[in-house]
Amino acid sequence: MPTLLWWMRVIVASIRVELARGFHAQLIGGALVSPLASAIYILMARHLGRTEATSYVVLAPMLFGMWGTAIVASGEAISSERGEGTLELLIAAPAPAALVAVGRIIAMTAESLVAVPLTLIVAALLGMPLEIREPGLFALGIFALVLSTAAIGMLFASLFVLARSTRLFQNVIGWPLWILSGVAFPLAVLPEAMRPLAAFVALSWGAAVLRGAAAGAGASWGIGLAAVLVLSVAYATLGARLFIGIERRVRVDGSLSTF
Amino acid sequence: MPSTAIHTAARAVACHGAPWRGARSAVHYGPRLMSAISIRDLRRTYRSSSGFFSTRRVEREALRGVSLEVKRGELFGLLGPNGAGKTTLVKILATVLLPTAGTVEVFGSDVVRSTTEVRKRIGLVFGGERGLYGSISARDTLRFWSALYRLPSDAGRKRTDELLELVGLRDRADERVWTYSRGMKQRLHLARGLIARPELLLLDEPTIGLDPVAARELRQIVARLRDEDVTVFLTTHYMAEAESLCDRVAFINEGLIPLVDRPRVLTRLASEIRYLEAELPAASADALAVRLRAAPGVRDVRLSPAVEGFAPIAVDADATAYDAALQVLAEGGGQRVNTREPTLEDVYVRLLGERGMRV
Amino acid sequence: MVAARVLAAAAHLSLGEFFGLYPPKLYFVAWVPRVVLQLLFFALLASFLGGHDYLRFVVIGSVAHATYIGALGFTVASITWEQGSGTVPLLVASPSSPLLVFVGRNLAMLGNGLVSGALTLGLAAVVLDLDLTVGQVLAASMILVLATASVYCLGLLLGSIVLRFPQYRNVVSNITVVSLTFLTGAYVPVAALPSWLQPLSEVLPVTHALRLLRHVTLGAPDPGIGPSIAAEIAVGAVLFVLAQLSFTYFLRQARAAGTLDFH
Repeated sequence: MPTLLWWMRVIVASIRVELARGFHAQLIGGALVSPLASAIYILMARHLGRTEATSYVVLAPMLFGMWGTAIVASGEAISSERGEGTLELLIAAPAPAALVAVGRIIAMTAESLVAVPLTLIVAALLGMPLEIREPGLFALGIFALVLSTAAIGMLFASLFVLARSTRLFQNVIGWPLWILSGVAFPLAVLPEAMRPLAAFVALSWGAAVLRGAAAGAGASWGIGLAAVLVLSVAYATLGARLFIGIERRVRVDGSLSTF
Repeated sequence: MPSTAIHTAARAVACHGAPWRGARSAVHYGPRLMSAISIRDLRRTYRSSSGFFSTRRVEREALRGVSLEVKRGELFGLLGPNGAGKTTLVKILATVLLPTAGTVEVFGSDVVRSTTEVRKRIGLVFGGERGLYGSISARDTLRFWSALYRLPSDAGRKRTDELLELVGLRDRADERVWTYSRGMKQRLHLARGLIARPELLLLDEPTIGLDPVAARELRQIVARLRDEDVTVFLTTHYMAEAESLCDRVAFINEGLIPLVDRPRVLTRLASEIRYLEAELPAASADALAVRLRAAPGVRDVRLSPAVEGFAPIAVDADATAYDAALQVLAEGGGQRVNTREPTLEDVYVRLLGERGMRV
Repeated sequence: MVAARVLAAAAHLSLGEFFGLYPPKLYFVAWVPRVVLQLLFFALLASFLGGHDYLRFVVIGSVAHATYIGALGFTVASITWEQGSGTVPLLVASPSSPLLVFVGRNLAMLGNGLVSGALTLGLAAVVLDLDLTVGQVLAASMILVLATASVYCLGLLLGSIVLRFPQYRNVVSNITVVSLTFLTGAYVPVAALPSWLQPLSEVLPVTHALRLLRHVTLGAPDPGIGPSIAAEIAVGAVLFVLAQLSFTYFLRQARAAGTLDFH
């Protein structure tokens, strides 16, 4: 079997296993948490009559939901491989273990998409619908952000493996990102010193594109999309590098299996 | 074609230093002469630091210079107590762990430098409760691993059916693994290990935790593998298993291998000792035990508490002291006096002292 | 009293488990930042959306949010660990009441809820530059204890339900925290919720305590101290009773169905 075909087969096999495992729990979780989280933001804005902040309060649960799923799913994947003791067996197989990770990430990305339509629906139901003047650009922005979700999922997975205790870092890793993302509130709200950091969070660029698309004034959308893609590649590369380092580390330290 | 042959030989020499190693394409050097496993002076040290911010560095030498050759088609056993280094050795063979020093070759490929080559040719059966995805079925498990081991879809499906039949899981193949008993999980591990028709099968304590019937069934399956020219490397701490199953056995203790040979040869090492067993009347048991211990040529006397008026006694005596010991037992009113055959356990105890083969 | 000793033993185990998961170093590196950043996030959001009054409202509401994540994040999880580590049948077979043990086993979470809430309250006082008298601090602390105990009872109830569906424990935990956040008046006054939801808020833990807390720390209108305390205690008590019933039901079902597993 030619190599590329084999790699595809491994990825598909990995997705199949993922579907049989955590998929439904996470899917349902995402499906239920997204609308509820939206309710918080939207109710806050509605209570204060801040209709001009609609794009912020609707996009926040959407994008946090996407990346949030990446955090949860990659964390779950790592801790369950550890818990079930299959990590060693994956390493011992001739297929590059990274392919199995890719399969998981694809499944996870599909889960994360749930947040997008649900948030829009809930916003409409709660009386603060997000008007999207340029749907094509909006869709493009979502697509780019989906790629970033997959990439950041890879990075998170590698970080979780290195961090030894997944659950603890799952809890904390999101918050600095949400704060720096410029999604729930404009960067101007942040202290000046923190603002440059937002450039490294793909969500900030993506949210800007989406807000522009919603308002119909998507001027510098090209730069925004490019930034999201570049950052995605960066996340994925870093994640892959770490991953290779991890395999090496497992074999040198003999750790991970004795977590 | 002569020129090709010379070219191949030259390349083989250049790559591996000695023409009889590692040359897969060297037709006339006969790859069949190649050892399945070749280990030279293997060392493995574990370094661990405790805590998130490393506070203490602890070093543990798991393997302290091990050398071993396993022939193709052999059923080879590694026997030793827990913590002796068995699992460490198997993990290194499986390429899941790197050696700290020394060389390890599987079918001529170095486990460190030619990792992918090695992985293609081995199957692992690491066993136990872990290593299986609980929420999927046995069939799905095998199909997943068949993909990872590069079997095309239909071949994978066929192989899955074959293996499920072989290990007797066909009837429960579509139920989730978390519903399986320990024995069933172990059989699934074995099936998984065999999925890619490996040339070398590594089994780490395959019958641990299994009831005698399940253990025997597993052993039978393993024994049959020999007919398919599969080399089997198995670790165990059950003497009887090593004795009955293996062509050759290596003892391992505290990271070193003091002895490797065929079970029959090994048990013969202990045959200069006679192992007597009897039951003595409770009243005179202690006195007789003292007398026996004092006798020349008697190596060990083990007296157990009396049950229903008789105390079991075991005497290990040199051949020279055998007759005398037998006489003491008989005159002392001993019942059920018998001489038993030496087992690997006796060899082991003699070799390595009374560390005991209990887990 | 035997019950007290069982509780104490269970609590001791709970603490050990908690510190096993969160050794002090890790607690400060992972958990405390989580609590602090959460407050920071909502404070920034509030200052973007509203004025100074709203900021004060939200920051105190964050105290409630902190107790939710502290007390609920793991309660639900650790009860399933119990299930996962196969100790449930051992508990059932022992002469002590399993409920007592379950209550005790998660007391560390009660502690974590309190600590998280107190930490946030302290930060809130700093961030908002609140000038609190000793009396106010004492009152606020007691309200916090009451609120956390109430949440804990909800955690017990959820834990008993999640025993039946262990793979959903994270989901249940997340959904509960998020729901409580908007239903109990943490970031939006209950009065601003859709009218059909408001009765639900009144029977959830912390809603009443939060009103009291805002009255004490921010000088918000008096919600009626006596009635509020009584209501909060009532909510907690009802949840506790429901939790006990639910546990008993679960155990009975499990014994009948043979699903009390050792693994």
